[in-house]
Amino acid sequence: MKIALARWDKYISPLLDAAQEILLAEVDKGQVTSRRQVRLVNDGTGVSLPEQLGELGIDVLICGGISNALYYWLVARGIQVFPWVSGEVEEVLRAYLRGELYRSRHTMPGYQRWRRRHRRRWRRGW
Amino acid sequence: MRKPAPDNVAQVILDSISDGVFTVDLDWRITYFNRAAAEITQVPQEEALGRFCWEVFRANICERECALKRTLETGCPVINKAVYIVNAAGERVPISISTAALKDGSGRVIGGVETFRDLSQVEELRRELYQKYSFMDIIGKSPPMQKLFSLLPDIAASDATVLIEGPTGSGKELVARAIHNLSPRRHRPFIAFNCAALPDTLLESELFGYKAGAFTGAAKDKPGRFALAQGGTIFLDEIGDVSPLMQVKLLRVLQEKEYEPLGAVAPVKADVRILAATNKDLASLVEQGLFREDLYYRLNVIKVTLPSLAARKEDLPLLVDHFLARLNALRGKAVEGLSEEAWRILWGYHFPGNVRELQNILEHAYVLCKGGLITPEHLPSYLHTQKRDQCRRQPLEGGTLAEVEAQAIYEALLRHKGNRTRAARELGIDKTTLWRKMKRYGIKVPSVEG
Repeated sequence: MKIALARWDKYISPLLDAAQEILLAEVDKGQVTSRRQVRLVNDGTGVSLPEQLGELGIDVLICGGISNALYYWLVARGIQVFPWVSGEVEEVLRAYLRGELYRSRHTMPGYQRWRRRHRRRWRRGW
Repeated sequence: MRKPAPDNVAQVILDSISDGVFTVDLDWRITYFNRAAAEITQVPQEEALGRFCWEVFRANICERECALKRTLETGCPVINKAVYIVNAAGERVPISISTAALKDGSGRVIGGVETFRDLSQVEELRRELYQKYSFMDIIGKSPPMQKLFSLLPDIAASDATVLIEGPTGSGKELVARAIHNLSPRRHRPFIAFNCAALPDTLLESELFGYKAGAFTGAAKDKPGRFALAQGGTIFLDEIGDVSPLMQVKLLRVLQEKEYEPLGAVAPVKADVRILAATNKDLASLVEQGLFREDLYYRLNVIKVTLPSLAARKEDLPLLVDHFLARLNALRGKAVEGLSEEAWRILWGYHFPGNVRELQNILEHAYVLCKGGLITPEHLPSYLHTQKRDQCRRQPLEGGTLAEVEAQAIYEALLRHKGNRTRAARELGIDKTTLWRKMKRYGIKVPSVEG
């Protein structure tokens, strides 16, 4: 399984729409088997961000803030998105592998509001 | 004498303003977050305090060009920088930010303060203004286009045949689609058909259809375009190129509201609204005997004439913005507009291919441009070889010196979107001279923004 984490130095990038780097981790049976960095060209000069993310062939994306347009684009392509996550990348990855991503302190302020809002949307059949 | 607690007063004041305000310490942890900040970011105050500012703010500049960081490093404040954030509802919110350093009594920097203003309302207004200048995908603020916009709803509501005249690439099909989409037939089909694309015999079977056995190979019935458009609208493009024989057949559809598919024994009723378009002058074709007079009058119940792009150059900035915004949205680049020199080239060009040509020129430039502004190198090479002056002098011909001068000033102002400093520079006169001449000729700054 391929997991992508939007990273900014040692932290999760604050906003996926403007993120510059992805940590790409291959995970097998709960263990990270390989990892590599992917630079994103995100200054409006090249291929658009959704396309770059689409090309990575990822199953899971963990990121911080994300605009609705980008979120729905990724979800519609079958990518499981875990947004509104914050903290240090390595800790976040460990928390995810333990299945405690949102149970830990790795959520951005405003996460509850985001979730309430998007749960309603899903029920309405977005 | 009793003094109110200073902290409390400051808080009341800060909570009563509509700009968002937050402060950070030197570890980028939020130490203060006012009511408006909570509203704009949709993050509750208590959740924001003590968190990293980028986790709360989520602006597009946080990672690479944090304004607050620059202020703390250089000591220079940032004022009114336009950026966007994503609020806790996942919506992109355009804001303008200003930053300053916070110092204690001894002048030591202890943190930073950032104020930000929600620009969505301004954006909304701008969009509304833009909507006034666009009508079902047709863009224009020039008088002929505005007149067209005001007429279209009434034309659409009637069921009359419409003849759309206009040079190639001026948007005849867009107008036809707009008429259809505004008409009571909008939920029925819209069929566009180019009459010049096929030879006569094929044209007939294509338009009216045929019955099985009408000719060798006609194994089963084929409905024509008129049958497909039943209840809706048919748009016949290049009607001026139709042969005399087909003209007779079309005349019958218009007169009797019926037609005969090839090989049919009985006529079929046609409940179809006909819109026809041509880039030729049908009236003169009638005079030359190339187009049937009776058909001309049947088609010409309502005539819509589209101006060439050269005749409505004031729409150029709007059209350029429109196409670039669309290309940006489609391709995900950030091309902001045209450089001054590129504008000058476009302005001097006479666009024989009209809006379609402009669209192609911009697409060409868009492919070559990596971002920022489109410069002359990005434009197609044939534009550079244009004898610019010839084209530019054309509209200035005739009139007194004063008239010519007034027109030159007006056009320069338009080209620079009403920026007087740049217009004056281009005209080679002083800004105050420009101001004086504008006053003398009663020229108002054209409102191009929109």
